[in-house]
Amino acid sequence: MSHAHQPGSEHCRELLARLSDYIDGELAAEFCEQIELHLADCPPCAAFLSSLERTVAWLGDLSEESLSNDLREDLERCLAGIRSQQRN
Amino acid sequence: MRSHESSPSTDEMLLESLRRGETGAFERLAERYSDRIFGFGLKMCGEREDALDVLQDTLLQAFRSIDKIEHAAALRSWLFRVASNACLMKRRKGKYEPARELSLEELAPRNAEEARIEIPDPSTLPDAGVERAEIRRRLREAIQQLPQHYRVVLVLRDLEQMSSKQVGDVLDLPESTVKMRLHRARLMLRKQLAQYYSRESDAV
Repeated sequence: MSHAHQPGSEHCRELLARLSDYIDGELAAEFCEQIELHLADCPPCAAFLSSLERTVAWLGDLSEESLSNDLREDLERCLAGIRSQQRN
Repeated sequence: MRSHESSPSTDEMLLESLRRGETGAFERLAERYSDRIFGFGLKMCGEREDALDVLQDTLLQAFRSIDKIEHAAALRSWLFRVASNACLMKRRKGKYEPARELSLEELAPRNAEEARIEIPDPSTLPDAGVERAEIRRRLREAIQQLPQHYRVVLVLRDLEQMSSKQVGDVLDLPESTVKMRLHRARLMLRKQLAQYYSRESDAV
């Protein structure tokens, strides 16, 4: 199977549709192999995958952010209000 | 206080206490889930007042409707379903936003140069650095700009770290739709970050 192509070709568009499944490890082995063959031959797609992987990594970074002290105070105030509603 | 995974046995005991109307059961529900629901509301709505309303609506509805939850394994999904609906109601007051699915062509890089824009690896930046804070701020803004049917999937999957199956359970969507929307949401965020770094490199 030849992978010679121009950037933006049909091969690239097919790969684009599957990249999140690839990153999440949810793609069948045969498709992973096709993607890896394509990436070896297509630097723009390899760079695009890397930037998408890093976007997902930044989302992971954001998910670890804890509540700031003033947000926590707001949260505690809200919970105190709900508790008093529960008692009444 | 923040628990990433719901422990079945603890949720089971909690659900049982809520059903019996035991003293302190509501406190335990709030202690167990309020951080996550408030955090979810903040990421979805972007405003602390809205996130507090979402938390209050969710906890009170849980307390009132606890009998609708059939088993403990469904408690977390049920809470996030209520919270998601509350967030979507908040945002419905905003501008008209079509719920159409975007085509991949709209989100694909237009040329090789656009595909090659580099985004830094978060693990290489200092924890308390200016760049990390700036990327987080831009990402939060970009999440707020996502269409809401994409935003809710992305927040549950990538920020609340649920599986696609769990997100499907919360939103009552097939897993294939969850994955399709997640991918488009990520592509939109990648585009925003790439635009930022493209401008940064032009400015140098």
